Amino acid sequence: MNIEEIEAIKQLKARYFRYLDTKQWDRWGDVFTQDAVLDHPANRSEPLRGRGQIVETVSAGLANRVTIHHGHMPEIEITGEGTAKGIWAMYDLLLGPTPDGHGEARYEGYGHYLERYEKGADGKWRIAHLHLRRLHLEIEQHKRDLDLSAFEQWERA
Amino acid sequence: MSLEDLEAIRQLKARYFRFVDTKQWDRWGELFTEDAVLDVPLVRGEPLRGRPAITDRVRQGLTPMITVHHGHMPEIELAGSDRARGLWPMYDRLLTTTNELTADPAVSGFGPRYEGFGHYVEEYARGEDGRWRIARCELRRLHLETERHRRDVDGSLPETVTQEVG
Repeated sequence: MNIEEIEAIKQLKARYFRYLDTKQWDRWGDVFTQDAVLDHPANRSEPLRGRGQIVETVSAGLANRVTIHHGHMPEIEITGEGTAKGIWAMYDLLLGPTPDGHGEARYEGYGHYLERYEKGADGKWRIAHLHLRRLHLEIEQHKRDLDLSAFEQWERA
Repeated sequence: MSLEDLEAIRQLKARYFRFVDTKQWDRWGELFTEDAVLDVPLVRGEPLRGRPAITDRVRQGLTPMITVHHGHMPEIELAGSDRARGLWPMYDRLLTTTNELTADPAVSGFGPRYEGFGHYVEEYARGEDGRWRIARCELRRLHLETERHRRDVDGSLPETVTQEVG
């Protein structure tokens, strides 16, 4: 077990969460390898491939949302020279418009990240593969549905 | 202090949570010593003694629920080369997934749902195979929120529901 490498990967994941929630997208992109894969099957059927596509898609999806992401209880294993894998328990809270834009939605999620890491030529660990699996997701939506035509019709009758 | 042993114990506790929440009961049982003691409010009365009793009772209690357990901020101390003790602040969320309305008002409704906060007070032992295991696990709650939705068709006051604390 190499404690320094494990600690470096824990701090890598801490930056993943911090740059995501503070929307520092250039810095967030740098926590991934160039050819990283981000797989969130509950959210989109096809994984995102490559740092460019990951940053573009995720930043667009979260641009007008408040997000909070927390990681817990890492299990990190150095699997070879410059390679590692890990599991993180996670919690997240997303606040923003409903998909149709006519209300507010609150998503509260619990699950695990299953990940692989690689150490680059610059000595920095990066996320090479991220797979998010949900245990539980709570969705609360407040939709505006104010159509006055029925009231006007009732007034006229 | 061996940082490697502390990290191994943190990963032991991570597997404890992960195997509970993903309901991998055989792997979960393997995290305890054969003569481990589990003392949690989910289990009424006496603490559970021994790996089979612990695994059977917890499997039975949690199988019908969605559960999420998180640990935070461990304080772990080594006591000699093969013993250790630890304190973990914890959060958990337990949701009953069988919420069918029935004709019997006494059992009708949905829930219970629990959101809990507390500390695990634990002891660990290293086996002859070199692996750390949980020898004693006690859960002390700081706070527990319970949500129940009872059907009350006859309009009488519902019975207090405090007996079902998980």
